[in-house]
Amino acid sequence: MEKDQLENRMRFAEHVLERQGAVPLDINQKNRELLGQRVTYRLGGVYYRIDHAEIEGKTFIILSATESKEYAGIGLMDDIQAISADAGDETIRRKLLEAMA
Amino acid sequence: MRVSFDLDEVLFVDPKRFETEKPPRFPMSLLFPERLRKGTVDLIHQLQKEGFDVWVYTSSFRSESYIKSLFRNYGVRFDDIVNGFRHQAEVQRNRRQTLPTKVPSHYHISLHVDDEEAVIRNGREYGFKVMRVYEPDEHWADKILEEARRIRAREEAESRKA
Repeated sequence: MEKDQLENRMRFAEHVLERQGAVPLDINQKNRELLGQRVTYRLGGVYYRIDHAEIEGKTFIILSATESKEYAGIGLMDDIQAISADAGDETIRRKLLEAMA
Repeated sequence: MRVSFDLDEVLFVDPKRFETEKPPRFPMSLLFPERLRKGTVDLIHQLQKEGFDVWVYTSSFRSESYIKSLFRNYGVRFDDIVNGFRHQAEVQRNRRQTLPTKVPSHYHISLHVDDEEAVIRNGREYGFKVMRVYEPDEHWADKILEEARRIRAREEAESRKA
């Protein structure tokens, strides 16, 4: 998958979080700068972040989460959902909502 | 009545030594490498069907989101989850005395299922009921169901007397 296409899919995933009321936070700056980690969101006491991973040659959008403010602040989260980056908008939306339920 | 389960060595087991539930499909099988003791899914469903509140009480620091998502792949939804973070925040707090890693009675849990001898000893000292499950045992789920029903019957009898 092209870099621009992947960025577009990840941006869409973040848009889904925002539509649910997730608030972008100004935390984890060090890892954002050093490792290129994306923005952290908070919704209902849970911190979320969108990422991507290559697994067995396929690209996946990853949703990571933690309830710990301290861990979120240093970018430490558990991966809780993997969605094929080729998936359509509705699949991405449904799988994200399912994981955040 | 509430029943809680420890995770490691109780519901999460080594597939080399234990029969396990079928893992979730790729790529979730890689995201969630823990394997469930065979019978876990039916046991949790049966307990909930019989009206028991089923919780996880673990001293591990896996996030609640992770535990919820892992079990969602098996069609299991716990009524509540206490992990190491929550225990520290709600049970240990800033007490000077170090409490045990699990105090199920704090959450009105009537039966906790765990593999550790230390948790059973703590149960005697702090007044909570623990059932030990650790070795492979094809009847483990039936034994837990039986014990949960027995404790509920006793609690109901006691509340009728009071």
